Amino acid sequence: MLRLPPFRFLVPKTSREAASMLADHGPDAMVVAGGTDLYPNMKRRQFEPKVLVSLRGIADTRGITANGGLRLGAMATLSAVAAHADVIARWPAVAKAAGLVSSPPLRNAGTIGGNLCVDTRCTYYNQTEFWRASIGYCMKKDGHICLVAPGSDKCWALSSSDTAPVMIALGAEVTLVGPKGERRIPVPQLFGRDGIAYLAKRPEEILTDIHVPDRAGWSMTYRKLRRRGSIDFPILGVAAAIQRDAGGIVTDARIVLGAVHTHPVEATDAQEFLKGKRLDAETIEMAAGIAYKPARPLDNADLSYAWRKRMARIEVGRALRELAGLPTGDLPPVVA
Amino acid sequence: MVNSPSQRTVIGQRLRRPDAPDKVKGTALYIEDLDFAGSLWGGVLRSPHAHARIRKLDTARARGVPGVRAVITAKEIPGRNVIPMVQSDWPVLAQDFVRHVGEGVAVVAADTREALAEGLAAVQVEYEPLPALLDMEEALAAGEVMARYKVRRGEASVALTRSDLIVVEGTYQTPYQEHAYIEPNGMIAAPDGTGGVVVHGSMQCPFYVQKGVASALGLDLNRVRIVQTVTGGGFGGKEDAPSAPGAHAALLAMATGRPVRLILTREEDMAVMSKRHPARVQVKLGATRHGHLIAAEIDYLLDGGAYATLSPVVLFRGTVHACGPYRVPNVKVESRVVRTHKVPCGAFRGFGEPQVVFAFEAALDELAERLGQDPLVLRLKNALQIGDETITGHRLSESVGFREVLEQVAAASDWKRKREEYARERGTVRRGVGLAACYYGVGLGAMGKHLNPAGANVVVAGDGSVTVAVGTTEIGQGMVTVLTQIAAESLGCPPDAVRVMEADTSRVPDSGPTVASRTTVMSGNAIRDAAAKIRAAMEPVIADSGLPWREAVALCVQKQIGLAAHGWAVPPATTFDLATGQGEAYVCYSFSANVVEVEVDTETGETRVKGVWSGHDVGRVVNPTLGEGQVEGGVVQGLGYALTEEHALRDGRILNDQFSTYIIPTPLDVPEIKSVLVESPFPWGPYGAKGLGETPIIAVAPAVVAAIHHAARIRLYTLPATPERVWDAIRALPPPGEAASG
Repeated sequence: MLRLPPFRFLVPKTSREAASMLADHGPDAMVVAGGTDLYPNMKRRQFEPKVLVSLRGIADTRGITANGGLRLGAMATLSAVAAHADVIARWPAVAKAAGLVSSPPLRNAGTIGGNLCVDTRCTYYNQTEFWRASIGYCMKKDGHICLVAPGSDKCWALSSSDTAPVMIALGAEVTLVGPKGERRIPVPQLFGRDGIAYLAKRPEEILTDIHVPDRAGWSMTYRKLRRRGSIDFPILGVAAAIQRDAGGIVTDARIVLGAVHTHPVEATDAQEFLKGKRLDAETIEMAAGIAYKPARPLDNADLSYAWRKRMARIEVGRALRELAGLPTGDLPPVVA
Repeated sequence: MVNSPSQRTVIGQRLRRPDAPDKVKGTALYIEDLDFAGSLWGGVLRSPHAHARIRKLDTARARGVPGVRAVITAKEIPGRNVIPMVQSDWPVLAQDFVRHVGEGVAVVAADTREALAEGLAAVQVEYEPLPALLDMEEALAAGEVMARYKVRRGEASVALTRSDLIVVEGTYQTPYQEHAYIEPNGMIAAPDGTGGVVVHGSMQCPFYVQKGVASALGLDLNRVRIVQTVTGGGFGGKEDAPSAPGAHAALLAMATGRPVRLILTREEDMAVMSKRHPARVQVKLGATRHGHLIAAEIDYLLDGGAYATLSPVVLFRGTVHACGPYRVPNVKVESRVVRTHKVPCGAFRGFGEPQVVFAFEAALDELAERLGQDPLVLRLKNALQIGDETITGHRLSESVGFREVLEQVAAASDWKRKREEYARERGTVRRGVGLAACYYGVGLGAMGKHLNPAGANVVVAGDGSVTVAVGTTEIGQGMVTVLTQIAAESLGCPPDAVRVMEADTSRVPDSGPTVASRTTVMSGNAIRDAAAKIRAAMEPVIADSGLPWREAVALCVQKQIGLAAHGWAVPPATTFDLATGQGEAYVCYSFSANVVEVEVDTETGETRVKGVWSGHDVGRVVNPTLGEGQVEGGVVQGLGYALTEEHALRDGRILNDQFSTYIIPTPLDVPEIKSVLVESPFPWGPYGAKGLGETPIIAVAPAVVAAIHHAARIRLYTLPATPERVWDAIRALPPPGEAASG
């Protein structure tokens, strides 16, 4: 098997202390929560930290509380989030997205904060050291060029978080703790616009909490397209949340696409289009036709980009039909 | 009671496999679990290029790295720098040229993993990259043909011009397939203290590894002892390929005088070890309007990769099975395997059949549609029966259970009703059922006769316990259990008295390779031969005494009767003419048919398999549980081949060498699989048994693709049937209204 390189493992007692450790060690240090993404990346030498700052020793980071809004401790496991009764009842899209990440063993170890911050992915980057060396490396690690889009000055690795599109669709915010203090930002501001600098937070900042507002009266869902219903990373994620008035007219709409760009993509035109309309089959079809346009999949993930882009239209349509109570007409899920 | 061999008591029972508890509990010791005192870490420096000249290879710096104990390149190999297989073209380590990405250039042994990594990095290689042949059609055009075969029967080209025939034609493509055994290849070699070497490792064929190691070290075979450790699956991937890591580890052990563990990572194993050959198959198939097959022309091309390994034999099997288990009076098959600058392809369960069977069965499905006939009816009409000849002119005189297999899977799957009912579906998600069939010549056949005999040593100890030694191996398929049953049955002893030895070349006779669905038949018959000799020695003493086994043995011991024997099995003689492709290609055939039920999402192209009914004529079922295990495992591997498994390459580099990107079905992705085992005894086989190891994988993909056609009305000519391929084909359909109904 591929093996981990040697590293120092630090276990701070507070988030502030963790942030200080990250600041002290600079680029040599990385933070580890569940480790389900980090350790495999270390084995392939995509990450080469000398120091790991673990969050497991910090008290009260796994809590899930639902008083009005929802507060998720960043270290809450994906299993815990997916199984939490209040989350299932009031923020079902959050439970669904968390429950669709990878496989049960990885959801038992992987955390909600870790999934929000999960590394971007690319065919040419998620490779062993030998492989990357043999082709001369790519700009995301050790190299200078983009092997997907030669000539590009930015990295096109794909945002592959299942939970990020949902959090954006629900208007969630995150708390970031630095060595000197903390701040709270909306989730879209957590993400950069490049596959390398995909997180816009400062390197020493630690994501400690996720705050999801009360969405009583909204309907919401998350749909995930992947090769196997049992395990894979998304090749497309669609989060949709709709607020309607008593007469069934859409008063607010959020549609966010995952795995189609270096960051989650809000389908703003489709959102605007839906406002003031009734969610009928024809409107849904038109909205889906608008929503898939900002998707920018490239030839750097499983299956062809042309197919993935067209599927964005299909899956947005299905997500909205689900919210409208119309038949979605697709295969039943593998994982019930 | 000592059972007379005619009173069958053990054959057909669900005897529990002795290796199950350790494997289930995780206490079985695979190669990576073994620890040899003072062992070094071994590793291989591999080529980053598909094709290059080695301008300079300097190991001085690597040798100077602290902790590095040995660095070996081609010029330090004491024996021959070739792994002996069908053609002598496969070097132990690259000499002057590298011919595929991942080819071994040097091997290094070091005290620690860190020193090993440093040592490998310090080997200085200067490559001059050369143009690489990466496409099999280009390789064919360039004349890079490793082997070619043909079948000539009747006048196919003339017959296909007959105006009364319905003719279908198509070109089919199939991908690489990865064995995906649960344990990568790995070996631990150690000097034996007397000038020889002992190599432990994960493998199917210890006597192949023995040959490879002896040749590289320049030692006699009796100086090379190979011990097979608990092996996490082979599927053909541990037939030819393990000779390379075996030789690498042994070279390092002899150079350092210490044990060396050389265990591949999964990614390394996927990148450099053998795979199923990608193929291109052209089929032209003609039948009368009543559905009688008249003629077939098939052009079969395999991508062999850089070295021949077993490619010629793989091609031979595909060539002679090209028209499936049907009567076809006029046949022309041309087949070639070409050399490219890619990873060498080799043995894989099915061995050259899955590719050509996919093409032929897909063409047959299309022919059924053109004829307006049920695909089952068309197959029944042309099914081989006793008295018929195969396309190689082999007249079948016994053990042909194909019709029963077809009829039973059709009945079990409710074929007729589903064919009619699902054809009327109009929703987004549509159901479909598809059928496909195959046959498989058991054993090594015309191309491997010299390897086909099998030996067995059976020793009865004074307490009545029995030791059975054969050179075939337990690779998870259940050989130990099946041979225990055969030994118990043929000796007339209780099965718990029998122990089948671990395969160790110093203790077991060569029984030929554990391949070609031959182990039950060949090792089984060798055991029966030995057992018959022991029984013959016992009979005068025990006569009709009615003594229980252990008392009967005690009596024989008292009477100074020797109770040990060597058994030897040689298959019935066959003849084959390579110039015409006519003759008895194999001694007998197993037959199989699958019905697969799918749901297809016509908006996304996604396919979900809902059920598989898999029928096999195996001659006689020795152990139903293990038989079902073979069927279920083979079907799952076939479903992966049908739907998700393929390698993408860039400049000869495999892009998906991890299980996150090489997509195999997980248990949740697999439907219920119903095994239908048909018994049409093969008189020469032990208690009538034939082989079952490979039929389960062969005719799965064409059944899946036929089911997708039934559901979505599309024809696919390329595997795997990915959502995008299905979706593309659906989009290419004429708009509704113009489409033919049904």
